[in-house]
Parts: sequence; C-alpha cells; structure tokens
Amino acid sequence: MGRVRQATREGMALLYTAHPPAKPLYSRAIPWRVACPELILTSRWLISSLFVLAFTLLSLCALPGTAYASGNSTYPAHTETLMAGPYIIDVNLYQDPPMTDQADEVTVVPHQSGLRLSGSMFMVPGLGTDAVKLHAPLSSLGRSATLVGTIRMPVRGAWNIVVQLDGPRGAGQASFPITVAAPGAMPIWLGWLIALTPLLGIAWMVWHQRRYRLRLLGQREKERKSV
Amino acid sequence: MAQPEVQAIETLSPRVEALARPDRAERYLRRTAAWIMLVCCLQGELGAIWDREWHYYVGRDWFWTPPHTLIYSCVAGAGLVALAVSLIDTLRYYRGAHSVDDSSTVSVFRLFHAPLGFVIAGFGALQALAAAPLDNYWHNLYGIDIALWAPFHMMGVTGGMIGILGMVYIFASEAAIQREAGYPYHRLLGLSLLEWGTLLIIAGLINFTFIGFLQFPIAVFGLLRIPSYALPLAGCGALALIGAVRFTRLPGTATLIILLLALHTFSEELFVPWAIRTAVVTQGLAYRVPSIPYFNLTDALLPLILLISALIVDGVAFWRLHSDQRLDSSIHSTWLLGVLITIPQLLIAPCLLLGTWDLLRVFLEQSGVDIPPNLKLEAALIAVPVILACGALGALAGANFGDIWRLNKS
Repeated sequence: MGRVRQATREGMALLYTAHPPAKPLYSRAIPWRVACPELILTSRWLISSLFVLAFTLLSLCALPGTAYASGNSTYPAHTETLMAGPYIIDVNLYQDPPMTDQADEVTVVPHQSGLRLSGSMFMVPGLGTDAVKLHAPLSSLGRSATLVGTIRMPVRGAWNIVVQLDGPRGAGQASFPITVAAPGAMPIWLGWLIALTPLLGIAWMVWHQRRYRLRLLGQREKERKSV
Repeated sequence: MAQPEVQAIETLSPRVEALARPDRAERYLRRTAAWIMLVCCLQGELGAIWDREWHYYVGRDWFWTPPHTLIYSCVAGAGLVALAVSLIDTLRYYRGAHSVDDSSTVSVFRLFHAPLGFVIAGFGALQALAAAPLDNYWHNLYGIDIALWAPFHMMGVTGGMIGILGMVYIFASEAAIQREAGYPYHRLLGLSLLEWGTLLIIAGLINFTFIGFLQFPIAVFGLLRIPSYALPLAGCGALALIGAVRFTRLPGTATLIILLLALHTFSEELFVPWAIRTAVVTQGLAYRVPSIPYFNLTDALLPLILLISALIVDGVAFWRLHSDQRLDSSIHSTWLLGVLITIPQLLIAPCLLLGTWDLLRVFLEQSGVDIPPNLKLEAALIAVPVILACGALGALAGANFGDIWRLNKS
C-alpha cells in the first residue's frame, strides 16, 4: 500500500510539474469555494443533473413494461412467474394495465420447454369490483409449449387472473392480481412521475440539511472557543 | 448594584420570569402553534390507521368517509397553522420585532421569513392536500381498491412524513431556545415539556410508517415474493431512534420512544375497531369481509419490533458518555450502528407478524410453493443487504437530523 501511495504521489507530482495550473484548485490558505467559485456552480449543476437523471431512471425502472405497453407488441408489458401445481410458468401480459372492454393477448410459457399443456383462464373480480367471473380458453401456439389466450374485463378495478393447467404431471392452478384501468386513463408512469416530483425537493432538503448541520456545529464550536 | 437584581430574577418563578423575557410574544406564538400541530399530528395518525382499517372492513365508498374527514381536516388544520405563523412572522420580520430576524427564521422565495419547521410542515401539508384530489381521480380511473402503493397515495404519505418532520423541527427548535436562554423551566425525567413534545412526534413518525406496514408491495423475483415492509421500517426506525438520542443527548431516550410508540399503538387499537363498528351501525353500512374488527394485539405490539434496537442505541450512547466520548461526534461511523440495530428487527418482525419462528416463510409469500434452497439463499442475499443498507442510511440521516434538532434555533 505504501508503495502505491508513494507512486501515486510521484505521479501526481510529475503531472503537476508538466501542466502547472495557473491557479491551484486546492489550497490550505484559500478555501476552494473562494478560490474557484465557478466550481460551486458546476458541482450544483452536476448534482441537480444527477438528481434529475436518477429520478427519471427510477421512474422508468419502477414501471416495468410500460415502455412496451402501447399495444399488442412482440414484447410482454408484464410477466408473472407462477407455480401452478407441478408447473412453473411465465404469464405474459401485452398490455399493462389492461383497459376496460379491450381484448388483450396473454401467453403462458412453461419453464420446462418439452411440456404439452392445456388449460384455461378465469378473470375473477377482486374486492370492490362490481362484476362477474369470466372465462377465457387457452390454446397452443403452433407446435410450441406456449399457450395463448385473450382477456377482456368490462369493469375497471381489481381483478385476479386464475390460470388452470392440465398436463402429463396432473392439474395445477395459480393466480395473480391485476388492476384494470378505465378508458383514457392517465398512464401509470405519468401518475408516478407527478407523484414523485416532490421527492426532488426532499432530496434537495436532505442535501441542504447536511450542510446546515456542519454550519451549526461550526457555530457552536466558535461559541465554545469564545467562552 | 447589578448583582442583587440578577439574584432577584433568579429567585422568580418560571412563569413570572417567562413574562419578563423580551421574546415572549414570539415564543408564545410558536409554542401555541406547535402544540396545536401536535394535536393535528396525533389526529392525522389516528385517521390514517382508521382509513386503512376502513378500506379493509368497509371499503372506500366515497371520498368523504369518516377517516378521510379526520385525516384531511388535520392536514388542512396543520397547513393553515403553518401558513398563519409564516405570514405573521414575515410581518414581524419586516417590522423588526424582537427575536424575529435572519437567525431565527429562514427566507422563502426571498419574500417570506418564517421558522424552518413551519416552512417544512407547511410544504408537507400542501403536498398531502394536493395529493387528495389526484388520489380521488386515480381511484376513479383504476377502481376503489387501489393498494397503498399507488402514486398519489405515496405522494400523500410523503407529504405526511415531511409534515411530521417539520413538526419535529418546530418543537426541537423551541426546546433548543429554551435550553440556551438561561431561564428556568420544568423538567420531567430530565426532559423539558418541549422535548417531550419532540419525542412524541418522533414516535408518531414511526407510527406513521407502521400504518402502511402490512400494505407495502411485494417485490417479485421470479417465484419469490419478498415483502418490502422491512425497508421503510429499517430506515425510519434507525432515523427516529438515533435522531432522538442525538437530540436529547440522554441515554434511554430511544427506549422512551418505544414506550411512547406503544402508547400510540395501544390507544389506536382501542379506538379504531370501536369507531368502525359504531360507524357501520350508525350509517347502516355492511362489512365487505366476514370478520368484525376488534382489538388486535399483534398491531398493538408492533413497537416490540424496535425494542432491542432501541436498547442497543441507548447502550451505545451510555457507553460513549461513560467513556468520555461525545454523542455528537462524526456521523460517518453511525452507519454501522444502523446496520447493527436492523438485525434484530429482521428477526423479530416476521416472527411477530407471522406468529412463527419459521423465518423462511417471509420469503414464501406464494402459498403452496416449494422453493428450492438455492433460491431461498439467493433471496436472502438480495433482501438482507438491501434492508441493512436502509438501516445504515436511516442511521446516517438520524444522526444528521438529531444534531440539527439539538442545535437549530430557527
């Protein structure tokens, strides 16, 4: 470690000699804030940009599948991995959240690729949803193990998708909850974007309070010394 | 000549002395507002828990349900008090009133001058109020049974958290002023009344986190369903416990927070089931689930999750004081304490909530699923470090805020 430190120091010294800055950035006598006020602006700009970037990334990451959720595209908007009895399956939704009275494709892909399964789906209204249980058959997609079906829920709100499967290892069932949106609903990502905007203020406040604490401690030290 | 006067003042009672101080009007204004806001805070917590239970037992039939009325009246009340104090102090600032200057207020938009705590609480209340119509709109779009993890629920919850944090600032700054003013004041267990108020609100902060405790979303990793409630619990628990001890500089404060928290949870469990039963009968409503609400011991005992953590925080504080170390030293090493106090929470919380010592069930939310051991290990390797990191971050924030609460007088 000592050698590394020494080498680094020497390297820095060489660098400094080769390109001596007109004005040292860090000095014991003059604080960098005073010596280089433009750095404060730059660092503030950098921190703000980082916050905005992190916020945007978080918003997008928090909403898996919304980027593909505009219609029945090749990529699933949402995937649920479930264990239906002896079968581990991926249930792919191509619209997340599904809209009321809109038919959306669902595929059921078993993890064991050689399996030939059959089955069906039930859409069961959740608590607070005034609707009746609906049924949708699942059919094989060509010669593959994938099953495909269509769901269509007429009422917005909480629903449970129940997948019932039958195959060489017997029967199995699994379910997962979904929320069906009203027609023309504000996209979920936009909702999160609006709702999380105040977090920028909170992040700024936490950062500000960190500096405020140091200032308060400094003031107290001064008072102690003066006493 | 001066000496007899000083002695005369020292022999006066606190009440008479308070009347003689030059910043009497400002102290009266801020402290009255602080106590009103404490009532609002307690009312809001009660309303939030009542609302959670109301959603479960009765449902959200319309916006103005009794718990919503309780919540939004308290949010509006706290917001109006914060606004009033901010406006009055702005006026007093421009008039040059005693003790209303740049050292005792912060500037907002370079126009208003108000105490920091009231500014924070005001913005929190504003955010929570702004979330209300948006949340109603969201319910209209996506149905009445949207879980807590909906955008505008979270917006309201963060608004509430900011508001509570602002209230801590209000009480703590008044306590700091009282401590350093040199006037005599009453103490109970070594704490002034304003410090008790601060601790009551810090306990409220944890209680507010408990509200969404069981409704937090499940993080899905393939077949695994990992409840994410541990994240806010670890973060908020560390923030509150370490912040409280650094605020009072007294070992034992963290345990006291747990006792105050237990007061909150027990009184809420006594009130909320009764209130739901009464409202259902008087309004002619029907339960949406087969069960009827009664006192829930598990919910009342939730503070136990943080008891060992609190004892560790107090123990460390006690040890530091006895080895002549300062409690307000660097915050950089506090993360380790945060990690340390999160470990017992990781063990106690699932046992209390599931009523079993089978910790692996925490990772097996999906019933009837036989998870392979390597997947369980994978889940633990993902979940545990993240939760410990939350505890560490909470501890750093707690140390930071605790020092500010101790010293801030604006």
